Amino acid sequence: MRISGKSIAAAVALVVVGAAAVAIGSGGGDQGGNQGGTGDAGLEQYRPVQVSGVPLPAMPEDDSADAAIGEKVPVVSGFDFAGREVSLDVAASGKPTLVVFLAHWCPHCNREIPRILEVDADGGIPDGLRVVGVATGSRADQPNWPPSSWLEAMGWKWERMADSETADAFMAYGGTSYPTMVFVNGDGTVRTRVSGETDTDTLKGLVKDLMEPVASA
Amino acid sequence: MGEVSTESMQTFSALLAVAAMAGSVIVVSCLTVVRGTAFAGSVLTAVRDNSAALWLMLAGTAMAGSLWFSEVAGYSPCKLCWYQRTAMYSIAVISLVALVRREARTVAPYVLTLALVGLGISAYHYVLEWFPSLESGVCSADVPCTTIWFRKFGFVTLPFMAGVAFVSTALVAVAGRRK
Repeated sequence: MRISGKSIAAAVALVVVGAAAVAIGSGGGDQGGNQGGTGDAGLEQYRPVQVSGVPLPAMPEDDSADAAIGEKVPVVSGFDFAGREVSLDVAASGKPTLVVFLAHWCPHCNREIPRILEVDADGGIPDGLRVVGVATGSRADQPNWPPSSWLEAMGWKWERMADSETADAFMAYGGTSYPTMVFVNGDGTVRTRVSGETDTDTLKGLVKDLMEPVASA
Repeated sequence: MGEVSTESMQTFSALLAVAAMAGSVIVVSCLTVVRGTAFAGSVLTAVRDNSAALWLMLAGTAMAGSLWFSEVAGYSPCKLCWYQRTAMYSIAVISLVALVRREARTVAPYVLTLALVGLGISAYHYVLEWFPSLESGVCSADVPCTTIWFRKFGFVTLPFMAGVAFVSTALVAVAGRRK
């Protein structure tokens, strides 16, 4: 018994033609987000964002000191998915604010939201703290699209802002990865910035720290 | 039409990967459980006689597929994708030269080394897709390696397909060295 090169070529050609026929015939896939511009009836997944003031420096990628701490956050004005105005003018509001940048496709963001909810369930998020979730880095070709439905399904219970396609809000806060949480004092200065998954105890501590009065210099 | 083409291409490439996997199982069987039989002998001889063409077919298809997904479908390659591409594209070029110069046996060690390196990276990338916390606690704002562009049949992803191509390439190199 001898298998010639021609036999191999014929077998390969058969496989390719068969695979092509199946692929063309089936067309659809078994995973993939809802592709499209809006993704959810009546809601826009990207909204224009206006930034005034100096953007924060980029988050350090190593353990070096964060140059943004103590700096004034820029005023970020945008909208939620439904088009309602959302203003991140912390200094004007005078309220300590936690800004959470979340990407719907990011597995770490998907794990972080339940932790934030857990902290809240334990009473770790006081009424005096404003929490804003910014859906950023959104992509229609990624899992959990659209972010409006994703945040709803995840049980996000606070304010929502839809970042622009160019992630202007995220960039203004110096974000480099998801999730990023920025703890902003009531006077509009950065208390802490953290990126990545953060455990509940650390979160509680950071919120508690934020709610303490800022020590005068 | 663009979306339909992308979906079809995903299915097509996933089916090719499954076919390559089946081919690899046959070669492994010939090297182990049915070793010494007439069937195993003829399969291994055929593989040995056509190793350069098989490498070129495997690596060339993988290369064309990766370029299609990045340049046409718009799937940006992550860092680990680029490492795998380095190995795969090198194999494609080496095997083309080996085919033209009829030097399959000479280049086999190089192809095997590249395939094993690529396989290691693909395996890590694939595991990372299932267990993203292994990488770090963050998603890069650029292109994180935990991004799964698509998953066909519940398990076939881009690094899986690359891994199958590397395994098949390595098996051809191993089978080709046997008398």
